[in-house]
Amino acid sequence: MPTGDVVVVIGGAAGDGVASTGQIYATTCARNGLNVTTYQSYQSVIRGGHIWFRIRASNEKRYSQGDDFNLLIALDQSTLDIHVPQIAPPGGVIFDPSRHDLKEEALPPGVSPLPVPSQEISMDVSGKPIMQNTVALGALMYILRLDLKVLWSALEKMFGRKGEKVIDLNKTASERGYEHAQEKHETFDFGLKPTRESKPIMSGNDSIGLGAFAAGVKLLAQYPMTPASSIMHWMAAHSSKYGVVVKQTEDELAAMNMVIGASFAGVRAMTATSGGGYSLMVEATGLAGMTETPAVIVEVQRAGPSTGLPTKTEQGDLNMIFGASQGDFPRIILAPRNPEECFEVGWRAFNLADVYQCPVFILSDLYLGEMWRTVQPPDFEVPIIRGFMANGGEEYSRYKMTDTGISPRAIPGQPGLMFIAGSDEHGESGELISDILAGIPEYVNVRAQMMEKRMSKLETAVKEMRPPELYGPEKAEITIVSWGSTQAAVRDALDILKEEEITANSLEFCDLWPLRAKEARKLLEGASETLIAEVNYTGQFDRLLRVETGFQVKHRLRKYDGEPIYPMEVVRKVREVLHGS
Amino acid sequence: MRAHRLPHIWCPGCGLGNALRCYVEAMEASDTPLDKHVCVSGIGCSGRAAGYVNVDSYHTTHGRPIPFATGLKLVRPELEVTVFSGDGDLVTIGGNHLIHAARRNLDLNVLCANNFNYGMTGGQFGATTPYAARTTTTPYGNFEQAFNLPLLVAASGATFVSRWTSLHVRQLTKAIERAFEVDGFAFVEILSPCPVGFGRKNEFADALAEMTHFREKAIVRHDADLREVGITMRREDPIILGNFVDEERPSYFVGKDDLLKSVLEGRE
Repeated sequence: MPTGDVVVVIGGAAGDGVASTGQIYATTCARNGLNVTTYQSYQSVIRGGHIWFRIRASNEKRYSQGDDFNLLIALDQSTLDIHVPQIAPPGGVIFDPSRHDLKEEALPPGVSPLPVPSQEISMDVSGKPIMQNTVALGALMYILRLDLKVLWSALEKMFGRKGEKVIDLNKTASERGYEHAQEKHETFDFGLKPTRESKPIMSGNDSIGLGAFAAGVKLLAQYPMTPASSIMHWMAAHSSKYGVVVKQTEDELAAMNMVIGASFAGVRAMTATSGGGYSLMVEATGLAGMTETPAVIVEVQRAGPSTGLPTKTEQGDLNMIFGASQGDFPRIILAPRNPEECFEVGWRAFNLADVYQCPVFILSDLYLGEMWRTVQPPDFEVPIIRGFMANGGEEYSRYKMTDTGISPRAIPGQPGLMFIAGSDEHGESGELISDILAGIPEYVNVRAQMMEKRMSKLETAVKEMRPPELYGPEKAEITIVSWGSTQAAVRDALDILKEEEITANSLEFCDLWPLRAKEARKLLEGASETLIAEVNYTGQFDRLLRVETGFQVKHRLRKYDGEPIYPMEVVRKVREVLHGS
Repeated sequence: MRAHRLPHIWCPGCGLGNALRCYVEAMEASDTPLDKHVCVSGIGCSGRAAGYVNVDSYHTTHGRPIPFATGLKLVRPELEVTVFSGDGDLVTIGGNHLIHAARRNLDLNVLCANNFNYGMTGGQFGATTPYAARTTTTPYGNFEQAFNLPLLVAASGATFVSRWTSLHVRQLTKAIERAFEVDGFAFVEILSPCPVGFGRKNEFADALAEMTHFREKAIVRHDADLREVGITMRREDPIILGNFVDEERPSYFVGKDDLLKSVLEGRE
């Protein structure tokens, strides 16, 4: 039965053009008005290794990459050997029999071989083998009953810079692939309903960059690290157009300190990294906390500890971010759930940083950062809130005691608003109290008051944080708790559970700290049964939630093998919890 | 070599395979038995070297092979400790450790494969990328100046400073052998083509073009003025190679033993 939902896997060796082929197909689907989600699996950015790109296209909105796949494009032998037995019927495998060997006995029932002489056609069209992927995509268009012209528009976008000739040759190559499939193969009816409404498609990382641009960011300082590097690539490529300084630094210590320097000077500044790089930023994070300098830090988590699995995902850095740097100081942690929310936290983070004058973390992960998904067109008219700025008049105190703990900020160079911002403890004016004054009774009080002033900012901030979202039916047999990108698997699981006549809902956290504990507790206490799904070993959010709400979620699904949680894993866990099987 | 780990993961045209081979041949030629050699690498393409050599090896975190190797050598002076890593790892993120190790003049061998960019993470610029060169993060060309590594390391106090390219296999092997011999900090810069990350963005269309540039522009000048050996990777400029510094200078252990001896004698 056609479901209006099809997953294609493109596999090959690193260097075979798997990523660009996947991007062209994903763009084609988005331009057909379909909903697209993707997941890339790779080992290394250097040549070598087996990589694959999963692209799901559907009529209805889907959140995850799905559990099964129906069609395979094999660009090398390993892809045939590894993935053919996994294809779910009805399905097929597109491959070039002159280059690779398909063992027919490996085909699951209901899965057809779809041989296409891609290399021969490519040689015929261009004299080179390099267009074989385009030939295969042409064949795929016929098999999926999609319009070849839409693929052409995606090819134009991809190869636009390479000139007319390259585009034309690619168009011809795809047409020949289409015609070959028309002659030799049947189409598959997955019930896809293309429309004329082309959808934008964005990754989580790009969306954060775009959100930062919308917020008026003026400096990004970053050191390369997978999977955060693409934020810098994207922002560098657009930096001159938007007047943004993109500075690659010698290490992450420099990056974080540059952010603090730029922010002290009055502009919006950010850095991005992964867990290992953030480890080097921990010291400077405390400096931002003590000097009350706004800073936005994007941490795209990968599987740790140490170098860990650089190309695999995890939600394992929450404890580190929550406790990073010595002493207590206020911080804000946002964990976007999907690329659309990445855009939103991308600008919200700057407002929160400016208003509460503290470090703000965007805690993403590899799965989300590299996930390309069709999104609602982002609205660039975002509110810009710079917070409490000094305007002169009376004698200026940078760290003045106020009801909210938020003191007036000044920018170096403003007449009459001179101040010292020190990493040592200080009084209201900014004068350090660490040397000759520390321990003298009056200054013992100052220390306590400054701690209370800084920490009290969180009491105001918590009112502005968003409570968890309860998605799905209000009353359900089970409530599934998650944070950040795990939303994808849980939401798709709800649809599968519905077909099994199990009612479930999803309690999702984006704003992790300060936590809206009261609302969270109320929703958890109202649930019939509770399950928490997260991608780490110790249940880092599970523990935070218990500590803050006093509520212990009863069942848990934890994953720490480098892969994201898949919808069926949630479904199986729910069945086990509710029915014991 | 650990044959079962081969073929290696480096791109066609990369110079690391040659560099590794020279290191292995130098180890075989050295008087030190293989079980007394230790290989320490960092993170990046060259960091994989530690996984290919069949001696005790340690693949550390990014930028930190030198401090790791320092700890190792301090407590096991009889081992021949060699750091094999890349420019991004040793010079950019690890630059501070590099100058302090040279200053300390501990008997370490640092083999620094320099390909002028970060290959593994996607071709970003680093502290060795020449001015105006294009990389993923310098789409308008690099605004910054590159380190002149022989000058930097020599000024910091190294005993042996050398530079060859991955094409100069015989001279490079000899230089590594010499690095093993000298008592003190030895630094060998190995210029290495990176067709995928660096070359094709900078008028070296393929691996051969960058190697041809190395071959045609190489000038061997052991007594070069180190202020003049910076690399531009412009077509017209020379690439100066040689064993620039090979001096007798008390190494860390010698200096430590001498001082300790005189201080302790003074107490008696």
